[in-house]
Amino acid sequence: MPPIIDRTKCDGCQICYEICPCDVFILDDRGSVEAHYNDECWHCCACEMDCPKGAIRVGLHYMMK
Amino acid sequence: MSQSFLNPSETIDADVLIIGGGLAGCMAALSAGEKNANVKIVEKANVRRSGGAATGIFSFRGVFPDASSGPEETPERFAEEFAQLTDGIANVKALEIIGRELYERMRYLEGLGFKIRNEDGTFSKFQQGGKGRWLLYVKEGGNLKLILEKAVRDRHIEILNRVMITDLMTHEGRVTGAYGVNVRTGQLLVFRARSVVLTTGPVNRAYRSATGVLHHTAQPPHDTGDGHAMAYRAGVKLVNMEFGSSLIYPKDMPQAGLWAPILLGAKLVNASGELVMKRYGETKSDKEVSHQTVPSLAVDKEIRDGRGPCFFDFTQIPEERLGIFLDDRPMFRRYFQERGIDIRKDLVEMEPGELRVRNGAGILINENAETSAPGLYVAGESEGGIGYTAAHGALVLGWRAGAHAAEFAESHPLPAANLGNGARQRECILQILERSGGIRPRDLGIKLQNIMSTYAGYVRNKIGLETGLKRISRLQRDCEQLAVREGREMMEALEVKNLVLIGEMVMRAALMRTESRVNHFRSDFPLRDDEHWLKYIVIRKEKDGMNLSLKEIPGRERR
Repeated sequence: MPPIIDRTKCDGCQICYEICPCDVFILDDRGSVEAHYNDECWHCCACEMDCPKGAIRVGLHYMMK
Repeated sequence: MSQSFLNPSETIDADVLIIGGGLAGCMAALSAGEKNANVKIVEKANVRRSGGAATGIFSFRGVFPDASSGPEETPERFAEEFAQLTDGIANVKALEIIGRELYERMRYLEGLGFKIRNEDGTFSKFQQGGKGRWLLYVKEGGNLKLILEKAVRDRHIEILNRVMITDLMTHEGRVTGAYGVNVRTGQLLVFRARSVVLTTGPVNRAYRSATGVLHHTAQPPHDTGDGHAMAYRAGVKLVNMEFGSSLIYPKDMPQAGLWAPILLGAKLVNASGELVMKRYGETKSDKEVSHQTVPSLAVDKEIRDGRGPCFFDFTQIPEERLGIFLDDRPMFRRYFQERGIDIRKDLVEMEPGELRVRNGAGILINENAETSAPGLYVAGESEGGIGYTAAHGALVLGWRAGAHAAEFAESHPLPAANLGNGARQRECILQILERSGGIRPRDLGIKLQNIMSTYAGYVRNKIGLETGLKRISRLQRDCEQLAVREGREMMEALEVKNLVLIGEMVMRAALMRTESRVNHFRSDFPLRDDEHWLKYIVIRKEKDGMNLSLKEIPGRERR
């Protein structure tokens, strides 16, 4: 399911949350980013392109596999 | 849903208010900024990655004097050929200006740091239609929006991200601002402006995509025709809403970017291995073959006639050319890998994608991006009447819209806030937030897509469109029952209300046009009829409801 965050690489900069055109990400109580609304992902890969730590990979939605 | 989501309104003033920070919106902002106007951009997502250019534009169409392939590449020729891509429903004068000025805008982007040339200073150009080589391929097109957003910020132009504009503010026919809401915080906003540039993109989510998942559209799913709908409600003229375009994409993989194989020489074949485009090349002139809509119409017909499924055959394309489009869209690589397809050996099944309302289907403008309402300018894929515009149109008309809007602002004072409408806005949103047990926007959105695809899709006829209109009018009543579970869903509720209105426009215009042209195929009127129908259908809100009328195409009035 898109997008997948690698927790070992994510440093919590929140750029993905800022830029996502579909507002797929949410911030939890501690300010940590979570990909939450995955059914609304457009697979544009902006989060993957802009993540400074290379911590995001956009996978295919089940319906596309 | 609690009322706490909705926060009190704030009033913001600008000389030029830009609604939508995509390619056209950024160009309009930069252009108006050069005229020293106080410019503000309001964007539903984030300007850095919003609109059709979100993750890049890799091809631009226009006349490139530095990289000309011959004397036949003139703006006049460009306009003539591109007008044919919409079967003559186009503004040739405006297309000529786009063809001529595109290169200036590309050079401007180059000045901002956008790379349009190869390492050795040359250009990569491809044939698209006719004799000219109009298509410039840009290898590093992925960062275009990042460059534009930085340029906008460097010029101290204020950006308000995550704000959806819900309606235009008008005073005695002049557009004087807009009402909006922050989709994350619920903050209500009232904008007063001397002039407004509307660049909200095409309508991408009115039709069902291949997977059936609401947001799996080939182009940005949040381009929901908000601008079209608010312009209509403000009494502004729209045209050509029955038209649009569609793509073919790999089976269940709704993503744009696979038009390139046709230009690069990939073959489209049916289940018997016959060349699909050859069949349609017989009825359509070959200059139209490269237009993105034609392959999708052809594949749809092959499947309907029992000759499907259809496939792309990439096996004859040289390796270095394959890389060009695979690199542009990483999701295709992942899809092929996931499905175990080796495009160097295997055929790739292709299917016709959802219709998008665009290519001159939108708010009527002239070559200066002026609409029928003083103070309102439109550019990008919300435009109506120009024709096949895409990125080249967004760059040129966006720039022109900003310049003309700034000029208008110089001679028109800021309006007094029309707070009565602001209160109505708040009331409308509150109703959605406070209602419980109603219809969820997701369900209404899917239902609309099903209705549109069934009755106003690739094949249309009188009975189908009349059936569709009845269903749409029911949906309009359902919109009064929209209810959300959380504040975030409010945006989808507002979007779906706009989409239902657009659905009605498409259906009514498609019913009126008793001929077939571009993507508008009437099984009861299968032939193109230039004598009666080389005309715009104008849509406007009148006292008694939606009014449709015919209008001559610019440049054809005298004939």
